[in-house]
Amino acid sequence: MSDIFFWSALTIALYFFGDWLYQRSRGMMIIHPFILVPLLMFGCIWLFGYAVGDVQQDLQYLQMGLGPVTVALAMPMYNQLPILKKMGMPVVLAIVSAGFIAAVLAWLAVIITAAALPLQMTMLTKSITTPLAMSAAEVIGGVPALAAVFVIITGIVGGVVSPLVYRICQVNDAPTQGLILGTVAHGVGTAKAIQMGEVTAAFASLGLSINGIVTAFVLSLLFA
Amino acid sequence: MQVLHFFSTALVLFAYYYLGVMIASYLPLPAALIGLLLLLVTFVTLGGVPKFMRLPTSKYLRHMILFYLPPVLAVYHQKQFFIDNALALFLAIVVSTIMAMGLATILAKRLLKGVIDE
Repeated sequence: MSDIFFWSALTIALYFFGDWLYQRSRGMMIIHPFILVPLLMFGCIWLFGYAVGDVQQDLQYLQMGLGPVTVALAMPMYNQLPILKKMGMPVVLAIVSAGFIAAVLAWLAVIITAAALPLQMTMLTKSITTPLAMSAAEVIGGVPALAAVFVIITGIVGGVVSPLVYRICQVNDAPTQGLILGTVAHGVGTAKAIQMGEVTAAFASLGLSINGIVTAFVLSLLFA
Repeated sequence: MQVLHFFSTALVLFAYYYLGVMIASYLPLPAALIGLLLLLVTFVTLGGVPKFMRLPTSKYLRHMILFYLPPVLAVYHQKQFFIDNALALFLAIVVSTIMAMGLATILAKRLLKGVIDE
């Protein structure tokens, strides 16, 4: 019991420290809480002489929040409905095809290299938001922990290359830029879009929401 | 009062999630996705997000990374996996993401042309 309290409290403390540091760095990717905090936790686990598996067990109560907080995404998604109503089918089509392209290209890459089936399944979820990617990976025979890592790296790559891609493709309008960032680079892309402006951010959230729901839905129906 | 709002919002989110868990035993969909869609339908039916839920929900979402730290620790058991699949991972995550971004941008530019000009 004391271990459960200790590790939960330590995880929460390390998270808020990581979050504070990230905010102060004004979005420096290398110290994103998702990268820094697990590393700090592995350091503490090693320092205190625990086994990773035992600590995971101790954090089960904290993990119980993951499902409900994913459900909470319904609110930002609801807030995007007016844009969806206004722009209609072309926007949905653009998001769905971008999500399809991202998943299929990633899948082809693992097929070419003859990677194992769990890796193939996990890779299909890499362009959707972390909580949905983890739930979908679990249902379709992937590895949820890997899905989370793939999603984050995808987001970082997408965020970094997006300015170059927009320049080459000569895309200057905020809606298209936002839509692609949210659809291909999900949460990390949306965070970047927020820095680019209000319209970019709104379209990024829309891309993230629709692609997350549609991809998780389709993958589950096809492979579960 | 605010503590009550945070508590009741958490209760609503848990209730929808567990409703999702129950339905997921009959449907091949993730429980969280089912819960999310049900809550979305509820908001549409109500004509908005209930006022008491707005601030707590945005706070929970702001810190959602905290809740997915525990499952991410499982990556530790996959060290060998990353070494064995380094090329596949590089191609699938880095190369394919750059290609996907380019192709998706070209396609979106065409699809949204008329809509954005309006």
